[in-house]
Amino acid sequence: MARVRGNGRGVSVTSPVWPQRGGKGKTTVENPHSSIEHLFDTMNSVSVALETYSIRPAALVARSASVLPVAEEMAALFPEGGLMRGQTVLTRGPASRSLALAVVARGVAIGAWLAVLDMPELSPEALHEIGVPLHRVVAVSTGTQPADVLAAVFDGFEVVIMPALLYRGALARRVAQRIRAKGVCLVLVDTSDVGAASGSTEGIDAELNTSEIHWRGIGWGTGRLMARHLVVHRSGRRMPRPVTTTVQLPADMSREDHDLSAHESATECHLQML
Amino acid sequence: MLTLWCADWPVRAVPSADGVPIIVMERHRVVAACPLARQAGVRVADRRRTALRACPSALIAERDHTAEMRAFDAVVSAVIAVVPRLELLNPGSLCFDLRGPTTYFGGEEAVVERISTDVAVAIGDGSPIGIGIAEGRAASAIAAHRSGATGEPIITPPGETVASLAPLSLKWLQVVDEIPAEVVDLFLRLGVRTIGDLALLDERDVLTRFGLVGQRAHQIATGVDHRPVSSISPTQFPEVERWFDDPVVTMTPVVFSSRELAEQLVQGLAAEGLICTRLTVTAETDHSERNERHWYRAEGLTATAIVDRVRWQLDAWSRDAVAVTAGVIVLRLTVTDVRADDGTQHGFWGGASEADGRAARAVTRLVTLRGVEEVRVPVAAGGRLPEDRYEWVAASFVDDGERDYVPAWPGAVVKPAPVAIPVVDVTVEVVDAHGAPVGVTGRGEITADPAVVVINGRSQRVVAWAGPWPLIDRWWDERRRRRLARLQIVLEDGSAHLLAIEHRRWHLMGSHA
Repeated sequence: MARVRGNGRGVSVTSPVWPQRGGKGKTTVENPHSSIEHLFDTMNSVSVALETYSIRPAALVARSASVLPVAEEMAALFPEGGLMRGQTVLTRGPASRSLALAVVARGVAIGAWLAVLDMPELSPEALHEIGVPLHRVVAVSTGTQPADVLAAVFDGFEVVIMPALLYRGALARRVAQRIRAKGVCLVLVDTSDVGAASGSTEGIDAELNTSEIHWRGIGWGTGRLMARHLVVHRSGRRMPRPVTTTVQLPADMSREDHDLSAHESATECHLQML
Repeated sequence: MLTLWCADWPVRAVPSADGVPIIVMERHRVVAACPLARQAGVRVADRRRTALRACPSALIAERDHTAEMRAFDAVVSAVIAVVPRLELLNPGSLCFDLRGPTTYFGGEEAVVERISTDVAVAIGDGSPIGIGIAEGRAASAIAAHRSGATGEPIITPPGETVASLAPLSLKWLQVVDEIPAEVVDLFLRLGVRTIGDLALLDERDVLTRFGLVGQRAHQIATGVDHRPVSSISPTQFPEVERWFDDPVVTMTPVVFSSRELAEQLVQGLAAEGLICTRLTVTAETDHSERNERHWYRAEGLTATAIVDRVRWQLDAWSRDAVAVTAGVIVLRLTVTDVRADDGTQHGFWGGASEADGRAARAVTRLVTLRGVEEVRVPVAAGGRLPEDRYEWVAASFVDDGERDYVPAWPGAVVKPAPVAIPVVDVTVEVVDAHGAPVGVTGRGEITADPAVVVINGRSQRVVAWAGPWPLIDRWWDERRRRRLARLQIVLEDGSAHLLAIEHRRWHLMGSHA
């Protein structure tokens, strides 16, 4: 059956349209790139706000945009300003799943679709809390023919999360070309809890390693889990100098929230019922 | 026009033992209940919780349209033996034009007699069948629904249709799927309570204030139902077909190819501003066996609705080993009636984007690759434990945009939610500083401070903990009641977990991994 579809990666729209500075044409826009980036930023924040009220924007970020935006606090980890389409990112360490969700949340919030492969343990509630609209999330198990399933997934979804264990060896080499051709953002999660044990880094463009996790809000028999600060270390073949930054997950738990609810028990109201 | 409606048809598709009440749910709402359950107080559109409160012993089943249609096929065959040209509305109801059969059998009563006897034999359990005769689709459907409650056919004499509808509540227009609930609600709130009240209004006023839907309701109320059931085959409507080079034995690829045909059909009609309301689906095998069914849907058949109907029809047919002895070689979709598209206005922020379309196609492809159950989407369910709050439901069963968020229930552990919920039961050991197991007393107090936790054989020191938070859930339900206490712990590597003790054993409820 014939499938009609545009070129997966789309065409690069921004650069040819805007006049080059110092070119022979009359330059009317002083810094076109900054202004269009500003416009995209504004549109992104508008659409995130709309999602909050369950209004669905048509995908504001065209498929041609080569970078899928990430939340502000994650931006330091990505020199391009976001997830590059066609690239593969690996998250490791004791907060690998949370970090993977935090990385993709903004992109899905503004219109991309998210496929979750072979991770039945992933909690939709956590996806929702981090700002992923659940109506654009699909979970698939790969079964005995992972290559076919991966090909179908990369055709239809812009963001894919899967266990790092699944993406290795011959299979990875087979589908790597497709990831680049379709402009998919692939996020691999090292789900082995021990960390740093599994696999090579072949075909991986960036590796995010979580460490030094400090939870706030919980004490010795008091309080509850609220948010954690963790150090994320980014290395990769496109990064001559590794980047290290501190991230808070979940990001929206502000300092005031901590103080306000520091003394309240997590299920206080229910205890009173008992 | 005669409409036949079998009450609570979804219940019949559920295999069950005698004496067990059955409730059928769709999208977390009751869509049908057996007489036993209804006597106990279960109502259509109840939530699961409300329904179970009314009838705790009930067997709850998810709605299965395909199984319903499979079960309904016996009834369809029985009626077709009497009246060859009929239209299927949905599993459990059908309609046909009476003019021909009345002349042949000599009167409406004779037709009703014959149909009800044959259908009763086909169903076989003596449950009431609703048969309604009136002028127009809506009127006869309402008559059939009313008759379904008693089992006595309702025959409206010619010319009395409007008078018979007049005293009825406007809610009936919603019950027979003619007018959307919000329009009916609006009429009721404005004081237009019965169909007769609506008929008294001026048609132009109704049109200007309520638009085409209002006009449609008014037309039903005044007996101007412009959609007669046709017994002849019109030829000017589009038809698409697909020939298979090799006979196809399994139905799945046939259904899959019907999506392409359906989209082609719907797009062709949309270009002319039309919606398909009546459709004939024909399948033929290599041995010239033929299966043809006519389908009607008042709100119009979308591509998805067409594919559903092809699936229902072929599933029922392919199970009949006598009727089907070879693979399918042709599938044909013929439009037999259209109406003007009232123009469902897409929202300002766009309906489906290109990405949505691509993802939808990918989901269809993945379903054929992996099977229905392996492609899932999250749906809010509600509950106090992380594992209850959402469930992964097969994507084919969920309508886009219906996966709303349910706020946390009182008694749930507040955010952040654990990222990973173990799929298999993970037993955990929690010990205190002296190596003795830690427990929680009946009064909800912890016996000692936890010092070391062993998860999956990996032992780690506890650096922080909170709780325990006791929970007694569904204490009224013997089978599903749970009594447990939850504990949050942070281990030395920085990972945090939600543990629960139940029946004196610790389990992993979720990990902030």
